[in-house]
This record gives sequence, structure tokens and C-alpha cells, in this order.
Amino acid sequence: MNIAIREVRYLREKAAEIRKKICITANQLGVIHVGGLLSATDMVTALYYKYLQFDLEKLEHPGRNRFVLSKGHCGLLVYLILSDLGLYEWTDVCRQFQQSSHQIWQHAAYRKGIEVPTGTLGHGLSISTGIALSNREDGIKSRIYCMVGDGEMHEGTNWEAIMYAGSHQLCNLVCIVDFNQCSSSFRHGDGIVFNWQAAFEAFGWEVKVIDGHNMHEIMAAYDSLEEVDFKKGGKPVAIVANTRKGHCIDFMQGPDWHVGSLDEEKLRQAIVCIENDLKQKEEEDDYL
Amino acid sequence: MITYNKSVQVRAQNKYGIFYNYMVDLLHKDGRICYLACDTIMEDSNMRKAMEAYPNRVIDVGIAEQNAVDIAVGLTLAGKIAYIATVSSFLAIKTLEQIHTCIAYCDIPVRLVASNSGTAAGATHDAICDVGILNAIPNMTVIVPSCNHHLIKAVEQTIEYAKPIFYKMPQDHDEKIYSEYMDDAFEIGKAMTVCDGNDATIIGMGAGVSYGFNAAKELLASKVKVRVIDMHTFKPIDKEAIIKAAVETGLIVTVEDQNVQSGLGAVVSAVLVEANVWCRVIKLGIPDEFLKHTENYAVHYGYDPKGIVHRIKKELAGTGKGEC
Repeated sequence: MNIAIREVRYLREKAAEIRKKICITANQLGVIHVGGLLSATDMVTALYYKYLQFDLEKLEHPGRNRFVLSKGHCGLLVYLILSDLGLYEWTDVCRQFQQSSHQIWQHAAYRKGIEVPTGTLGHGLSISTGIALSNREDGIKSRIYCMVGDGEMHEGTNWEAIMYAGSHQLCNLVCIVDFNQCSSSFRHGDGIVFNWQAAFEAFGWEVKVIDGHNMHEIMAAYDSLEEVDFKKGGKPVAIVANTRKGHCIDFMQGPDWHVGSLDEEKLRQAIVCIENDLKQKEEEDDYL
Repeated sequence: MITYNKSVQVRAQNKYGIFYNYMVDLLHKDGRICYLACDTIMEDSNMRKAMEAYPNRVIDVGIAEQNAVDIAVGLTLAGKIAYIATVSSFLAIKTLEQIHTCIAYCDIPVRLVASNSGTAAGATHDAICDVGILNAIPNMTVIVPSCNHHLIKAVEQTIEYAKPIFYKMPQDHDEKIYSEYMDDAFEIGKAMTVCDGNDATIIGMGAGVSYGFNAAKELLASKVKVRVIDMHTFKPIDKEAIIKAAVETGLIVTVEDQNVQSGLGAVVSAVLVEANVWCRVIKLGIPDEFLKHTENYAVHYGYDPKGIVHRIKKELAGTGKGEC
């Protein structure tokens, strides 16, 4: 097996493992933003386990790559991954989660390893723009990856940031749109029809449209990012990831699963779906 | 149209020129300093030249204040010291969520410098409750200097301050109370006594300080000696100075160009109630209503020097204090 396939498989297996943990969490802790967590999992897993070059010893290092989860209601995804990477004890996170007064809850609160606390939507991209500007001033060539939700893009502040970053060629900024097709109450297309590619391009961004659940395409998108070169300049990059809420779990598709919990039977079904999805993708690889 | 617009900008530039020039000096001296504007950097200005020299540190986001505040958060998270200066009704009200959640909750030491706070530019642009709103947000420090000279002092001494700060730019930029009358060492949370007296106390904030000081000078003619306190830090407020004034003078008059319901008058009253100190408090400023067009709000609402003198004489009548 070549190295590229091995990496795809590693990240895919890791994403499946994280998905299972999300479902177990929805069983153990009750209602969470399960749909959006599952749509974002592949893109975020690839970042933390490869592209961020995440290092527990360099959490405060000025030259680190940074991930800003602007769709902060999926904060549990980052807590889960940071626990898996050894920053937190997961049982500790769960215990704190159950204390509603504690900072760890549904949203990305201010805590070690969380670059920017988010939850109210429409802030992450502007804050990432500020970090990108500061890094450019200091000649720091790392990247700032900011994930926004498609529902979150209704917030006007995102477009202020997109206009500024595009106009000022912040080539160290990457915006990932988790285009999971629906927000809390409606499906995309019912209320708002949007051509993300045309919109970002109009504001001076480079756009890559991918299947956000296909690890080959995810890695190709991240791999294709050019090295940051402030002298040469360049456009900020938007990766529009076509995803699905509740990805790969058959009973969990659509806006009804924006939030939810899983009983024992549903959890069992969900785990089967995740394993089947992984198996199917590996068979596809073998066929190729 | 263009001529009108430019003349407004020139007036603003002159009014706040001391501050802008100070910021330009800071930008030259300290590579951590960033300055964010919202369509307010004039052609041919020193700040425009600084923007050309430091394109990543002098940032005009255009008419997008919410973006400016969150960009400032990002700059600060990456090690910069970011100042945003623009009109208060946009900076403190339009961006309230950014201030509340991204700055205050995270305790990010962004500096917000608000012009036209209080009564300055017509009802939609007047910010008569900005400091009252910000007072309600944990982690915020709110500084309301009485003159530009003092604004610079405050900024100068808080560059390294590790908390978010809201500075309200003074309206009466020509007033130079301190440079002429006293040593003005600025310390956050420590009110300054402009002049002493025991017949009554005027606690002023921002424009209220010069109104109060001029009223106190006038009252001397009636042999009434009034203490004038400059409450330049609205939050954290100097409780000790308030309680001491209440105990020693027995009458407090608060003067501000803010809504007295949420501004200095309200906070001073609350401090005294909490401390269980009885004292008559007269709250002069804007009542709880939106401003209607008038020539002079201070005169209209009775918090100009003449109005203050009138109220204090009325309160002291029959008390044997001075010749009231």
C-alpha cells in the first residue's frame, strides 16, 4: 500500500473513531449538536491529525498553525479530538459537560487548546482575519484555518470579513465552509439559495469545491494549498465542503438531527452505519 | 455634497487630532501597536501616511465596525495591541455582541476609543447610554476623560493594561483643566479632586467635569465652596471617593452627558445605598429619553454651569452654607 493511501486510511479510520465517540457522547450526555458534529468530522480530523501539525508542546507557539471553529456549537468535536490527542481526559470533559455551570458545554468555550471561543455565530472569520494580518506583519508563514457553517453564513459579519480578506490578499487564511445543506430549521434551498463558489470568487478568493466526506478530496484540497509567501502574495482560499448532516448514519439525515440524543438501540444502529461506511470506502480504495 | 462631507471630516480631524497624532507616534515607536479605523482615515493625514508605512498595522476596514472589533480581537490574540477609533454609536452599540462575547468574556485587552459619545452628532449618532451599557459587562474597564490632554494621559498609562478598555473621547477638546490647575497623575479607578470644598460635591464625568468646575468657580462668589471630583474611570468606579464626599459634604451632584438612569448618577447612588451612607444625590444629565433637537443639550437639560449653580443654590438654601 502506498503512503498516500495509507494516510487516507489512517485519517478515515480516525474520523470513524471520532464519529463513534460523538454518538457515544449523544448516548451518555444527552442532547448535543450531533448532525453538525458529524458533517464537520472528516474535514476537522484531517486538520488535527495531519495538516495543523498539532503539537501539545506548542500550544502557545506564535508560529503554530491555528484552527478556529467558528461554528462553535460543534465545540464538542474539538474537545473530543483534543482529548484523543492527550490534552484533556475525556471522562473529565464529560463530567464537566454535565455540570451546566461549567465552561465546557456545547460550545467552544475559552479553554486550553481552543484558539477562539465561539458559539454566537459570525465571529470566527473576522477574528481569523486579525490573526492572519498579525502573522503577515510578523512574517509568520503558518496558516489560519477557520471553519464556518453554511447556516452561519447568514450572519452579515462573515461577508465583511470575506470582503476585507479578499481585498487585502490574506493568503495565509483558509475558510472551510461546512456546507451540510441545512441549519436548525430549514434545508438550504428552501429559504436561501447560494452559489458559494461565485460568491467567494466575487470577493477575490480562490475556491475549491470538494466532497467533505471523501478523504481523498479533502487531502487533495489541503495539499494543494500553496506555501504562504507574503512577498508573492495570493488569494485567501475557501474550501467549500459538500457535506451531510448526520453523515453516514441512515436515520440521521436532515435538519431534524440538528440536535439530538441516542438511546441504546439508536447508538447500536449508528455504530453499524459508521462501520459500514468505513468498510465501503476501503473496498472502493481496494477496487481502485 | 463632497465639500460638506470633507468639512465634517476636517472638523473631526481637528477635534481629535491630538489623539490621532499620538497614535501615529505610538505606531512609529512600538511594533505591537495596531490602529483600526472604519472609513475614517483622511487623505493627506499623518494616519494615512502611517497606513502606507504599516499596512498590516493601520487598518481601515471601511464601514464595517463589527468586523473591525473582531479583527482587533484576532490581532490581540496574536500578540498585538489594537486600538479601534470610531463613532461611539457604532463602536459601542452596533458591535455590542463582539464586545460582550469576543472581547469581554474572553478578557482580550482590545482598546475601544469612541468619538461622539454623548451629545454630539444628532439623535442617531448620539450615544447617551454607551458607558451605561458597557458598565454592565464584566471585565470591561470604562474610562471617560474630561479633555484630550487627559485622554492621552490615560492611553499612555494603559498601553500594557491587561484588560479590555473603552475610552470615551472628550467633546470639549479645548478644555485644559489639568494642565493649568494641577498635577494630573492618572491612575485607573482613582478619581481626581479638581478643587476641594465641604459645602457640596460635584462629581463630573467627561464633559461634566468642566461644567462642574466652572460652576464651582461661580459658586465661590456666593461663598459656597464646592468639591469637584473628576470620575474619569467609570468602571471600576472609585467608591471610596464617593463615600468620603458624601460623608464630608452631605450633598452630591453628578454631572454627565449620559442617560442618568444608567450613567454616573445611577452608579453613584448605588454605591451610597450599598455602603449604607445617607446623602442627597442630584443627578444632572440626560433624562431617560432620546434627544430632541436643541441648540445646547447641557442648557436644555440644566447640566451646564448655570444649571448646576442654580440647583446647588436651591439645595443649600436655608442650610447656612455660603450665602445661598
